[in-house]
Amino acid sequence: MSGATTERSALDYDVVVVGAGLAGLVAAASAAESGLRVGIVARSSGSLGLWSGLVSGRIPPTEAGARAVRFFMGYSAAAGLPMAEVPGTLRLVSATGRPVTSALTPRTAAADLAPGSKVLVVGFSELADYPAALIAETASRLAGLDCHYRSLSLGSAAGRGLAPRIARLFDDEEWFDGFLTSARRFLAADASSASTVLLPPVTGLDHFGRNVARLEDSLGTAVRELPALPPSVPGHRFSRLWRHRLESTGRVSVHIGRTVTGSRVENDRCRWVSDGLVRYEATSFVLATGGVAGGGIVVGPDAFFGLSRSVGDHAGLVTKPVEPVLGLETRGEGAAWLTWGVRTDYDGHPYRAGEGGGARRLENVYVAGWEAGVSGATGPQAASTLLDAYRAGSLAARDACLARERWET
Amino acid sequence: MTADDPCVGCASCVTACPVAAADGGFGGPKALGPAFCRGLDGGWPGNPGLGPAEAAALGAGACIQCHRCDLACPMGLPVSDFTRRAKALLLSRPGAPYARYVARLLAEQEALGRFIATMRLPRRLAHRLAPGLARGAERLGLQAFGLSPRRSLPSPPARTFEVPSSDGLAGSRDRPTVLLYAGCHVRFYDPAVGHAAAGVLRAAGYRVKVPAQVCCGSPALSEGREDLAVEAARANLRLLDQAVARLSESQGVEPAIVSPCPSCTLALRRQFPDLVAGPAAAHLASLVWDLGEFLSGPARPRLVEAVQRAREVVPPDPLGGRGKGQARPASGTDSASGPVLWTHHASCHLRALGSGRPLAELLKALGVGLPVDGGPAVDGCCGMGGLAGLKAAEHDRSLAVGSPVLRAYEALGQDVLVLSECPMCRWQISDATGLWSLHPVEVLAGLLGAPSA
Ligand SMILES: Cc1cc2nc3c(=O)[nH]c(=O)nc-3n(C[C@@H](O)[C@H](O)[C@H](O)COP(=O)(O)OP(=O)(O)OC[C@H]3O[C@@H](n4cnc5c(N)ncnc54)[C@H](O)[C@@H]3O)c2cc1C
Ligand code: SF4
Ligand code: SF4
Repeated sequence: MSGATTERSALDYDVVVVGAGLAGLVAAASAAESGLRVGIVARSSGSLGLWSGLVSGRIPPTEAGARAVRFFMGYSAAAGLPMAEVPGTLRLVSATGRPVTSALTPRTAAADLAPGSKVLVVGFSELADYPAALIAETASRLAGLDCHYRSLSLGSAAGRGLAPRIARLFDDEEWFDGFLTSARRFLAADASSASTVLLPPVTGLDHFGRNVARLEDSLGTAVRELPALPPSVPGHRFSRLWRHRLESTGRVSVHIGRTVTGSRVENDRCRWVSDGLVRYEATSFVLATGGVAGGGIVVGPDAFFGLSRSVGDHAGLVTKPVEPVLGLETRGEGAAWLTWGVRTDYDGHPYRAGEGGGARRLENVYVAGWEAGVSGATGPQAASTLLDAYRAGSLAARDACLARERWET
Repeated sequence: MTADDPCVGCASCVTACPVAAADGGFGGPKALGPAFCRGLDGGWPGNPGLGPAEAAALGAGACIQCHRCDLACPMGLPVSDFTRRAKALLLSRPGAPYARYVARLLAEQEALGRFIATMRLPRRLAHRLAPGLARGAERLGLQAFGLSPRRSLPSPPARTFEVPSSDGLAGSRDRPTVLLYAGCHVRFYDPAVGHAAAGVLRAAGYRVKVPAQVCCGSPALSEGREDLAVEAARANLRLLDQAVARLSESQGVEPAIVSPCPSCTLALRRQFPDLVAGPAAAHLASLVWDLGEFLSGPARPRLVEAVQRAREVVPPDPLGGRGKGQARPASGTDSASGPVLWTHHASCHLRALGSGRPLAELLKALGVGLPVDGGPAVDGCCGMGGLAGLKAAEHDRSLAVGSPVLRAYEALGQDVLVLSECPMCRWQISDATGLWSLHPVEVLAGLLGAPSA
């Protein structure tokens, strides 16, 4: 199809997932559940570092929705990141204090804040880019909460106040003991009259669950993390914990740092994708390359206010988008680039551009995540991402299992 | 964000940076990378442009070139190339002669290695006659060079790394010759890994030749000495080109260039084409393999057969024939006392290659020992940062950067063998935890009964 045939070796998997964002990791996990060999090929860890950590959007009340949620929660808990689901949706405030709802959240962020609730918003004076006073003010005004705000110093160890530094401090048990003491001294009075204490989402990379629980014990009040603004520690936790669990099953190989630049399609089936060095062969493929933010879709000069030539093309790093490589048809509405994606059928098979009026699909490829496009101008939400990623992974696995059976009989 | 400056300012790179997490004084990849370089290239309106003073104020020197920021950037930017530029600026400060001297020393691995190699016999003798005195003298020597006296030194090998020349004969299409780019660590300090790699390649049906080579330049690049790295790249290109041309002619196919060291592989494959313009570097890069990729790729079928054959004849020695006569943990690691517990540490540069963990997967597929899971913390950086952690001034930071990883390994207990392709990770992990560490190919060599020296 396209791409130079300079690869000198091939890796053979049952399912290859292109992309390691939320969609890619969930699809790989769901495909690997049936015992298949899965390869993840991705340029980087995608938009996970920007993700607030909340699974926004709606989970449809169907059996399929319930199955996807059960799977996601089970996998995440086993990976070390337990999620919480509450019947209906949680009423939370965002990283800027606006009211938001969420279908699922990390357990450390799961609060249900009814209007009128008394809430203590805590800021850390050293933490960069965390407007705690503004959050309290906005949340009082827009979410109808009764918010108070307190600022706490983390001491000199916080340095420049970068989020990963502070998360790492919280993982240091000795430092955390000291922090508990000062939290009790400076927050206990205000905390005792509040129903919830909201902290910046930096309570550890590894021990966030334990730390939040110890803080609750010590303050005698519910303690929760707010959703994150980038740099998102919750997104980083998700990325590293899920990747570790995927790799530790021994069935998933993770190739991050590899950009797909070529493929072969024969008889409406993708045979392999390639990064110019290695061919990744598989029975079925999941395309989870993200939208404009993940570099999966490249914006041409006319489409995007005439501003940018190509989002993914920079200084000696050639990044070809997957769509032209597989020749897929994209859809989207004008400048609402958040809605852009590739056109798919009901099962998530993408249509190829320019052939038979777009009627031909790639039969062993499933599209998931932002790549699948969304309607409305809100951009993709994690709820729809995880539902279609779970489904794409399962369908790709089903195809691969059937192919194996055919092969064996 | 514009087409020429696609950074969206998301700071995903900062979250992934192991140094930013450990050192509160480090400015992090976003400030030192795209933001800093924006200032360098002419600056913002009214900004005089950034220089060494600003780079120093942001703590640029602490960047260890682990490439983790690159793998986190959603826009696919080579963030670590930018941080390297900021780091390089530091060496031009008038007040940095000592830093320049230490940097130069570490950058000059070839010369350092040769010097240490010439000291091999006197060192062995001294260690035999007066071990305490010898160690004391070595410590003083380290200090004089700005290196940390608290580091253990590799014991002097009996010989430097060479492969019998008869083995270097041109192969055939059936039994092609592989060029083994051994790297400085193998050549000067740890020839056993090179012998293990050669033995395993031979068992998989290849001839092995160690071509003339010099240091890959990765240490120079990490120290901000791009000039020295360019020299190293040019010299290697010349030497390897000759070896490739000679073999291609005699055996009819171009030989693969295989390296057991992920940092060398990264340099040959990714950095040479950046440092030296033209088709030669790009072509050479296309011949370069990480040893694990090669053994689990084209070499795999015959290697697996060889392992199965060997298992019928010799009882497997998963200790790789190594450790004989060497201090090893008292209990549990002997093959006689049950399966060897092992875990795999993926170095930052192995991750940057994007090849996964081919050797760990191969060992699992062969059913070797009992793999144990160190938990998500061990996916972090061990803190050594190539040669940076050897500097006296960096030793403590290197332990702080690695501490989550090192503590997690310690928690596994002293019976666990840590396998890592990277010599510096092995050095850091065994120094800091007392755990025993090997290159995974040494375990494969042990399975094959291949000689390790
Ligand atoms: C700023 C921001 C905030 C958000 N906040 C929320 C929120 O509050 N609530 C919510 O529900 N959702 C939120 N989201 C959306 C979030 O759910 C996910 O980012 C979204 O669903 C998209 O995930 P994805 O996996 O499809 O794409 P991405 O995360 O973008 O992943 C794309 C993957 O494909 C890879 N890739 C791209 N091209 C190639 C190629 N050619 N070769 C190989 N690999 C390639 C990328 O490297 C990456 O690994 C937010 C997103 C952003 C950007
Ligand atoms: S190369 Fe490593 S140490 Fe340097 S800025 Fe990037 S992540 Fe941080
Ligand atoms: S991760 Fe990339 S886009 Fe985000 S701040 Fe860093 S360099 Fe910029």
